[in-house]
Amino acid sequence: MQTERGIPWRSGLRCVLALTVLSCFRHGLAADVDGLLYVLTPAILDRGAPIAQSVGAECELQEVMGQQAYKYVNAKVRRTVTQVRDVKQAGEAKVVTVTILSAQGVGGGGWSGGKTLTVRADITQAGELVASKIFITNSRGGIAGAVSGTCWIFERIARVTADRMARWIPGALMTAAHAGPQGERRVAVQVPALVDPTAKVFDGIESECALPNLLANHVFGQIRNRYYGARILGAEGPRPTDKVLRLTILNTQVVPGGGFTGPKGITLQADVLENSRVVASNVFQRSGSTGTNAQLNTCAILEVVSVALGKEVAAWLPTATDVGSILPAAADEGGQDLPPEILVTPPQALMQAQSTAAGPVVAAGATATALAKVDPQASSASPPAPGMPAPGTKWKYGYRDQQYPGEETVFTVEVATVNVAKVSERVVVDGTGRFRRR
Amino acid sequence: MIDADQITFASRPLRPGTSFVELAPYARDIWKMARPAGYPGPAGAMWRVSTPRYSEEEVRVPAGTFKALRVEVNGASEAFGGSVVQATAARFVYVAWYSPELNRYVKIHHQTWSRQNIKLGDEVVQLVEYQPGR
Repeated sequence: MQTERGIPWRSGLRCVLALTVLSCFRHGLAADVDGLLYVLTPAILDRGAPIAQSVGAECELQEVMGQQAYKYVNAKVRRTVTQVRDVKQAGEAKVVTVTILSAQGVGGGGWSGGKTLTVRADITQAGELVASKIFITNSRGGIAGAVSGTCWIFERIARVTADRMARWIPGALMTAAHAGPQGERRVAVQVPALVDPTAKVFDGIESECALPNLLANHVFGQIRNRYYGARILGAEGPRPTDKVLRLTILNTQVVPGGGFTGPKGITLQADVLENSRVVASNVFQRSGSTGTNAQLNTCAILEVVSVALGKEVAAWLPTATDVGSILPAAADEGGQDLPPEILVTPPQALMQAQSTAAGPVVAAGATATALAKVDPQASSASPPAPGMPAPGTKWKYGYRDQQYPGEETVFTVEVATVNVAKVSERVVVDGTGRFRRR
Repeated sequence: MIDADQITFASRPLRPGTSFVELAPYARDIWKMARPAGYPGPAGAMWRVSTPRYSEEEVRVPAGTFKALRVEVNGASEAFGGSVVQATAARFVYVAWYSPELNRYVKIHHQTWSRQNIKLGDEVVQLVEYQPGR
């Protein structure tokens, strides 16, 4: 009898405990969505990514990249990090997705020169892009590179890429947190770039280098670095208030054969469209060549040229249209991301053009022509940078050298004026005193 | 005039004989910087400065508790065979907590050691009061 009576009591208690735990867990999740971060594994392989079968299948690059991303983000980002196989599993929380855009330098292990992996890391929340950055990592496999296999080198590159990504995330989230709403007038970049039917292109422009895809991604990456809210134009098309940036490869100057066959160049046209109407247009040309490392292949050189073109387009954009919030130019652009041996020539001014809203309607896919001269005044008005303090803001600090006991020095910093990212401030030393404790 | 895009160290004098080291007070995109330059150590010394380490942290200062981006930079003087004077800093650890809410650092902890590993400085700057602008 004791047992019979005890079972319902214990069972009931277990139920209460279980429900309490579940309730707390559920409440905890709901209350702290901002503290959660999900990582999508495996990584996504971009449809146009030029990746050899041997790398994609044998090296399991998507799985390796996804797992490394999760491992490093989990270790370095002070949030509750969970891996998911489907973005929907994350609900309203932030998700890190890694898209492999390119894996270059396949076959032959370390003997066949450096390998390059290009990935784009996106942080999204409820379908909205919160932050995005492209990482290019190049390696010859280190000390053991010459005797290492291709997969081993790519795994090493995936680790380095994941490490850099994990270091980028805290700052990216911070920037997003204080950048405010993304605004209505956003730049949507059309990816991939179009190729002008009359353009001189080389064999393998798409199959080996995926140049239209990589070039457009790098232009997007550079624009996203500067203009908060920029996004890749999705299949759903532009929103009515979007500024669409259409990119067209007008020409390539490429003799296949990598660094041995001289500089490689790209001529790119950028058009800004509003409601399918071209409102601004410009042409950019850049070329690059290898320095001491002639082993670098044609695609790797063109990728560096693409990054340089991306910077040019991003710098031009605010002179052409209202792009919304401006983020500071990335201080680490270039050098650490790219194979260091490639030299990119200075820009060559080919054509600068801009028109008003009365410009001709150009159907998507067609090549726009020069329209008018650039309005020099268009570039002079720059909105204040986000994250900058308002004039009159005061911070009162206490300074003390704890090595030498003594009174603290109290001083006040006051913002006098702010011009974009330049702050003029006044500092008044108030005197000495004690820290005010709460 | 401070350029918020310049991620460099600078010495801020407070009064004769007292100054402290600031790293990019407005911290715009400080997390994008590979290695900050301009550490104001002893004249002529070359400093090998580490890549910053970043993390999110809650920091408590007299002005309150803030969510902050913690940035830690280490450095060592490259003056091999140089000055052995005990009072000369040869190594430092610099930690700053930046609040995106207040658009500036809320705390700095800057420690220095001599070549003999004797602690020379242990400076703390903390936010005592904040007053938003117009």
